[in-house]
Amino acid sequence: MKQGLFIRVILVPLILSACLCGCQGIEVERTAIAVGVAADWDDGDYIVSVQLAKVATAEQAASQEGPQFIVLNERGQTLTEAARRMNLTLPRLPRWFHANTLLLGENLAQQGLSSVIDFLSRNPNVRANSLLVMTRGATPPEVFQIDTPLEPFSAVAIRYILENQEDQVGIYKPVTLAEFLYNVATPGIDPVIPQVRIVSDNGKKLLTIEGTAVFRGTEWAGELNEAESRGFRFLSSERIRGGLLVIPAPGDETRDVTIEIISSQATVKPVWKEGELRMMVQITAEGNFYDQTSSKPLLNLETFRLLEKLSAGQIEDEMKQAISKAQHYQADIFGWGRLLEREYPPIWSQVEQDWPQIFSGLQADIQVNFELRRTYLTDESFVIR
Amino acid sequence: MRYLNSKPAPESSDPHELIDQNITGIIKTDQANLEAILQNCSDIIIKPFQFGNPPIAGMLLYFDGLVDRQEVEINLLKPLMLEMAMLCSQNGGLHEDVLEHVRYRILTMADLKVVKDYNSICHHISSGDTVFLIDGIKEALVAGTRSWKGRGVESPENEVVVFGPKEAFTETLRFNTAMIRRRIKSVNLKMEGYVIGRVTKTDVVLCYVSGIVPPNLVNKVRSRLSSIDTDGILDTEYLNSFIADTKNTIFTQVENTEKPDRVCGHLLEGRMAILVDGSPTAMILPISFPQFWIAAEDYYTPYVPASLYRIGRFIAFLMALLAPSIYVAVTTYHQEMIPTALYLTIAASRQGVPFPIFVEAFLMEATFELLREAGLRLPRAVGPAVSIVGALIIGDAAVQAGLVSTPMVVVVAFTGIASFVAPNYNAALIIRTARFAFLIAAAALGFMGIMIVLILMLIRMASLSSLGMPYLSPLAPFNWSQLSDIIVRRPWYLANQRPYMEGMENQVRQGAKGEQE
Repeated sequence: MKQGLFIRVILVPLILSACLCGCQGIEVERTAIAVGVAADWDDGDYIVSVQLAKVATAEQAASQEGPQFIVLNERGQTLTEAARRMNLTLPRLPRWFHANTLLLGENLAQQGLSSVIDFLSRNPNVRANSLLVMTRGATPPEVFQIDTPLEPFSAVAIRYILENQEDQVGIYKPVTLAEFLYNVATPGIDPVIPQVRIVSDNGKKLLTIEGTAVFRGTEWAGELNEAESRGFRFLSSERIRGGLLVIPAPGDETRDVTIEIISSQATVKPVWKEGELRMMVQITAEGNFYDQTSSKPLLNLETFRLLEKLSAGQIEDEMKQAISKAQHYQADIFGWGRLLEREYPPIWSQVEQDWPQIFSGLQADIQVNFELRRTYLTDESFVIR
Repeated sequence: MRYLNSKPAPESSDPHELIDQNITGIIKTDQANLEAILQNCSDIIIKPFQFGNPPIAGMLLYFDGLVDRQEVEINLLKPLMLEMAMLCSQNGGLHEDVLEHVRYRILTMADLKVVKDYNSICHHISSGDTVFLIDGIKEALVAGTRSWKGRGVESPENEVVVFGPKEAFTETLRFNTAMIRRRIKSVNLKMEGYVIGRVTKTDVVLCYVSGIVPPNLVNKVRSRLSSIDTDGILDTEYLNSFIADTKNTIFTQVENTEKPDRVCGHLLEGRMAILVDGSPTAMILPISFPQFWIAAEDYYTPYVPASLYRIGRFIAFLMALLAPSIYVAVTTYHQEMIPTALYLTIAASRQGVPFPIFVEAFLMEATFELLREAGLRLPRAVGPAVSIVGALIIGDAAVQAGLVSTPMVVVVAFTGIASFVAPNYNAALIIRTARFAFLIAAAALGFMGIMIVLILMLIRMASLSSLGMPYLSPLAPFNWSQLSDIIVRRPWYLANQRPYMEGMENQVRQGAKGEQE
């Protein structure tokens, strides 16, 4: 009896379920691996592009001629249809779960992202932690076709570039799909996406990250340039690490000093005083002295303070540029509306309707505390005799 | 020396009835009866002789090859024939109680017994004793003259150690008990003898240290041993199926070892060992599953490396159990879990492989088991050749021919190596058997299948017991203090208490109170 129960309750479902699994499991060699996925819009149709890795072992890849990927495009009335129609030409099943980079075409952005948000949030094959990048001045397939130096797949290259530049130069903030969707869905904050462009270097086409696309909700509003993007990064609520500041050398305006930012934390607080809303922005940042192009001794007590002041001024300037540009676009990319909602819920419910207009006229009081910490291998400026 | 195999049996007497009769005391009848009982036994030696003055008829019986011939001649025949004459002449006649005289005054042997029936005579001569019958006396004298050519004590073949004792049990029971006794010089080391097997009449010894072992467990084993009714016991494994709490399972509830030091370690922790004559392995019980990944060597190396190796062994144990099924599940169902570069490599090497991954894995695992089995059975001279042909040629050629993919070979090889990490052969067998169940479940349902089988396996293991001791203890039921000798190996100065067992009277191993560590 006990034995019979075991067979009926456990073994039989287990064996039967083996017959049901055809739609789930698929052999590795019948799949194609998409390293990058892109969505675009053209003339009433949605276009899905994928960069598929050619299957090869490391050994084969090294000896292979030409690109190690193929780029496929397909049109459809919806993104899902376009993506599925790919199976009409491709004998393998493209699998998206390795695509860490998600490109959005410029045309699609100008059209407004509202039509693809649902696809991006609902489709289980799209990774929520994939990085969102907007193509500027090029279509996604063109970006995918670029032969990036040292990295066989441009989609992977974009991700690595975004990750490394944040540490090394600190201009753009990588945006994951999850963050983007959250920002779209949350009142009082507007999303941004870093942009990728194709540049020409001695006739060879290269990819570069340039500018940040600003959205008002899902509507494309404009872009931030490099300095504004840097200011935007300083204003983000998380602690940021890495990045450079180039400031004029004290006492020699033609020469410069490079400061590396170790960490920076912004605290933004809305203040409601006598019927007027102001944003209190406080930045606590730390940096290291990295190099100087002037030959004057800079690391003494007077210039040290001056260097800190100049750095603080530089940060403040970049933030002001970012704020004024965002206010110009009426896009609350800093999430100030959300902060207001948290701090003064009744006021937020009053102003929520015309928040873009109010945001564009907001005054921000910026206060930067910058501290210079270390000077690396030597604590004096190099003396040339 | 006379061989009586050609002699016809006495007319009316049936040997099967004769054997239950008592000794008649008339030497001629006894001889005829015994010859009838032992007919067609070419190795029996029956030697009638006369001794004393006036001469008394006597008879010696033994099986050739089982006794020490020199001892029979010097310690039995010589005193009888020479000293008896001396003794009788002093009294001027034959003594009333010949047997008593022979036993206590004449024979110089220590191991002497008296038996009364043919059955016992036959049992003793089969065991290598010499039986001595005297005319007119209804009893027979049994002299312990057992001595035969056995394998000497060698180093263990399956449980190889770098440090620590390198003695292994042999097929001779007495050597084995001596090896244990030499390590535990205490009268509390008890060795209860049993004779099991209707035909084989095999000597079985139950070892334990009284005062440490829970008495109820000894009673349990005693009653299970005495209730065994079978034709023959040729190895300790025969007893396993009679003694185990649950018979119908792949999880052995005993541990087999060929190392006397390991047996002693277990005895000192309150467990019992069963030795069987003719078998070079001892059976330890009760045992719990976590003990299968404890190696004897852990206790002979410093505790930090020993603990690390033990943890590593546990991981290897899991890998040996799960690696092929995880590979199958991941590559068929959960491809998003593989790093992109690895995915590309796997997909590339799978190009042109004609079988689905599951079939590939199953075939490779089966091939590996086959090679392992072949390597075990082959004569030593051919062994290396098979491993070269198997591992190198078949493995390499199969990949070259595109029959299997390279990652599969790597997984199977890794699994094989990991399964050899198990210090105990019983554990390795469990892994090898269960691995295929996991493989099938992974092919059917991916990770869900693996989890289902894993849970079923754990449920099964948790429901098992070894002599009433939970099979998964001390993991389930959980006992924190005992984990210090399961997951890691604690240093000896902290091991004040023995592992807990139900009914244990004396848990203190060292220190005044054996305070909780």
